[in-house]
This record gives sequence, structure tokens and C-alpha cells, in this order.
Amino acid sequence: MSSVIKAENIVLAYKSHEPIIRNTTFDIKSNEFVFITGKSGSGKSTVIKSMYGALKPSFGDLTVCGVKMKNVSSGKLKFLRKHLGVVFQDYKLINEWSVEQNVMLPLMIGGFSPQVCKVQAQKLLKHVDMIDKMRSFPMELSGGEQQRVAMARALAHNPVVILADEPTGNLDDYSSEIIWDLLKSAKKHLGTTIVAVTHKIPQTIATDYKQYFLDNGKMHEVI
Amino acid sequence: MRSFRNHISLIIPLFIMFFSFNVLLILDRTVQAYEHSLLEDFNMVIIASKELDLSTISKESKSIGLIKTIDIDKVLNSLNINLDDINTTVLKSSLPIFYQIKLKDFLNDDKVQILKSSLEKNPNIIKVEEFKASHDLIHQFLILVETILLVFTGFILIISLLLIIKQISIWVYEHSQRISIMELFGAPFFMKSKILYKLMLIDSIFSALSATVLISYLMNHELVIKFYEKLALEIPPFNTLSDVFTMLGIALVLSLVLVSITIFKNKKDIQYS
Ligand SMILES: Nc1ncnc2c1ncn2[C@@H]1O[C@H](COP(=O)(O)OP(=O)(O)OP(=O)(O)O)[C@@H](O)[C@H]1O
Ligand SMILES: [Mg+2]
Repeated sequence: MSSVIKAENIVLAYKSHEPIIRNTTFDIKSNEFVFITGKSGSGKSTVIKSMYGALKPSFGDLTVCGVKMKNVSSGKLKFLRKHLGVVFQDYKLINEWSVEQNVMLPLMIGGFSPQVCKVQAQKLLKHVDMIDKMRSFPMELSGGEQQRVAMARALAHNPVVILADEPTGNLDDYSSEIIWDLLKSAKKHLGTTIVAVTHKIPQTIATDYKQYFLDNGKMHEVI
Repeated sequence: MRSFRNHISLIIPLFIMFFSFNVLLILDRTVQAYEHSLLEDFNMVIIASKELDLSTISKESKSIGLIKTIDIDKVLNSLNINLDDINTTVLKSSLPIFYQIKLKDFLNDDKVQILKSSLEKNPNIIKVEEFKASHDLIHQFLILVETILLVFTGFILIISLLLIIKQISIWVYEHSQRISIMELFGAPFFMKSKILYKLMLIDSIFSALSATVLISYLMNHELVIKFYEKLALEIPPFNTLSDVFTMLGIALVLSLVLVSITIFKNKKDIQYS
């Protein structure tokens, strides 16, 4: 199977003398379900950031969907980001926009008509059980509700890869189950590649998955 | 409330800028109309020993627009000389040729003197005489006012631009959260900054139109009309359709340029890491 995200000896650092990730190599294949686990502060979000191009590797090669991230042009990065679905650890919802408008964002960027965007956004909001609050604004939602909206937004445009940073961090077992089921179904029916950061791999995952454990600046595959 | 204050602090400098543009425009037209009327009243008569034409005479100055011979018969007629008493043919042949000159551009006194002396250097020209209405003082006053206003408008322009850029920077900052999130989903440049262009455009158009309204009001005010009457000046055309469109055009270009400059200047702050 072809690689979707491939890292060869990458170094990720915010300050050049303090690398967070050191000489790490990994290979995520198309249609894989990958968990990244590790202690708080071990660099899980940092790895995710590098995958959507917010942090460029200082050394080594990182390729995401065929795009080399090291000296990526802003045009290429825009193109890549249209095909990614990201759930940020801090959700990053747009506060001035309603829940529905937030979910419509990647669809609008994809160039769909407002009507199509609305229909698709509402479909996803039903999936995450947030349809009743589609007219609300992010500030009026609980942490868990915001997280579900962020998940709906990440799924809305049927991305090739979903990067989910602690997508169930604020959710009870029942809501977590819904989220994992959505991700599993995207993998199964749409061939989506899933990369999910979590501190606890769900017991009921019932799918083939790969797990990386982040420790001491390195990604170790757990077999 | 916050957004109202934001708009006001953009609209005020924009309004002052458009207002001064308009005033400058009107004053410039007043001066031009006045110069035109001075030009109409201006006459120069050349007495020459040989025939002259426009091509030879315009070597002396490009401002000469017309040269025509003065009909001797008419002159003699108007002098009320009994032509029967004199042998007209002899008289006419002994007279030099009289020409009248009209200028196409306005020349001030100094330039007229220069033109006069350069014409007098021509060996075929016997004498040059100019006749003009003496409104030079008003003309000088108008030029002085225009120059002062030009300098002030320059200052106003600089200060307004600084204020406007500052206000747009505040906007960019206020919208930076949204812009950075949109960027994370690969939004194109225009989609991210559409709202900023829209806000700026609305304020520019509003300011341009309100400046137009105020100018119309002032120019129809008794005081202004009386002032023009006292100086025997004509009120020039203002706020014509083309003026309004020019102002709107300036508003459009200004919005595009200023917002783009500010966005690029703040690009580092907007970018997410
Ligand atoms: N923008 C930043 N600038 C500088 N250092 C940063 C920045 N973001 C994170 N770090 C540092 O990088 C290290 C890894 O952070 P990261 O957010 O990747 O951890 P994490 O594994 O996601 O933790 P958590 O499970 O708590 O979310 C931390 O020590 C953190 O202080
Ligand atoms: Mg994290």
C-alpha cells in the first residue's frame, strides 16, 4: 500500500537548540488507522502540526500526500490543507460564526455552493448529535460540544487524511464511542487515512490499527 | 458599539481626505475659469514691417494661439478721417501691418514681459503693445490660497493615511483568529480577507459620498455665493457625475491598496504556528 505520510529522520523544533522530536522515522500508509500516544508534553501535537504544515521539519524529509513539507510553497500548502481534515486539540472554532457556518468552512473553501455546504454540514451535525445547536455560537457550547463540532468540520469535506488531536479528550464514554465510530466508518467506507492522538486507546475500537508511542523525542511503533 | 467606534475612526480621516480633495478641485477650477476670463480680455497688438504668420511667430512662444491682421480700413474708418481727402492707396502702402495676437495659455505678467521682449527682438517687428484688464491681484490671491491648500492637503493626506492604516491594523488584529483558522483549512487569500476589503470599501464610499454632500451644501450657501460675487468670480462646476465617480474610484483603489498593504505587513502575526 502507498505511503500517505512518510517521515525520514525528521527533527521538529520550536527553538533550534531544543528539538521536541529527534531523528524520527515513520511511515503511515493509505487507509491505515494510526494512534499516537504518549505522555503530556511528549510532542504529540507537535507531530500533528508538522503534518498540516504549521511547523516545518528543521532536518529530515517529511512527505504528506506527496507534498514535501520542508520547503513547501504556500500554494502547495493551501492545496494540501484542502484535502486534510484536522481536529485541533483546542478546537479552533471561529467564535463569530454559528456552529453550522463553522462546519461549512472546509466546504466553502472547496468551492461548493452554499446550498450544498448547508446540506452536508447539517448531515455531519446530525452524526455528532449537534443538529439542535447548529444556530448556536461556539462560546455558548460546552467543551465536549465544541469538540463534536470540530469533528463534524474535520469530516465535512470527505478529506483524504484526518488528523485528530485528542478528539475525545472532553467527551464521556458514550460520545467518545460516537466519534470513534465516525472515524472507523470514514476509514471503511471512504478509504480515509486516520491519525488520532489519544492518551487512551478505546477498548471497543474493533478495527486494525497501528500504534505509535512517543517518548523522549522518538516515535516507537507498538507491536 | 465597538464596531461603530471602529468605523468612525476610519470614516473621519477618510472624510477629511475626500473633503480636502474636493475643495482643492473646486479652487483649481475657480482659478482656471478666472485665468480663462483673463485670457479672453487679453490682447496683444504687433506692428510689423513685413508679413508675419503663426508658424514664424510661434517660434517665440508656444502660448500664442492665434494671429490675425487688423483691417486697416476699419481702423481708418473708426478714426473718422475723410478718406476722400487723402489718397488712400498711398496712405495704405505707407502704413505698417497691424496684427492682433491671442494666447491659448494663461501667462502671468512676468511671462508676458518676456514674450514681449522676445517678440521685439524680431527685426520685422516694429512695436508690441499689450492690453489687458488689470485683475492681477485677485489672480495672485487665488494662486496663493491654492498653494497653501495644496500644502495642507499634502499634510492631511499623510496624517489620514497613517490613521487609516492604524485602524485597518486593528481590524486585521481583530480578525486574525478567524483568518488564521481559515488559513489552516487552505482558504485562498481573497476568501480570508474579503471581510476586510468589504468593511474598508463601505467606509470609503460612505466618506466620499458624505464629503460630496457637504461640498454641495457649502457651495450653495449664501456666504460662499456672496464671496464669489464680490470677487467677480464664477462658481465653477462641482460634484458633477464624473467628479462623484472619480471620488468613488479613488475610494475603491484606496481600499484595495491600503487593506492589501496592511494584511501583508501583518502577515507574520496572522500566521499560525
Ligand atoms: N508554540 C510553541 N512554542 C514553543 N514550545 C512549544 C510550543 N508548543 C509546544 N511547545 C513545547 O513542545 C513540547 C511538546 O508539546 P506538545 O503540545 O506537542 O505536547 P503534547 O504531547 O501534545 O502534550 P499534551 O498531551 O499535553 O497535549 C512541550 O514541552 C511544549 O512546551
Ligand atoms: Mg497535545
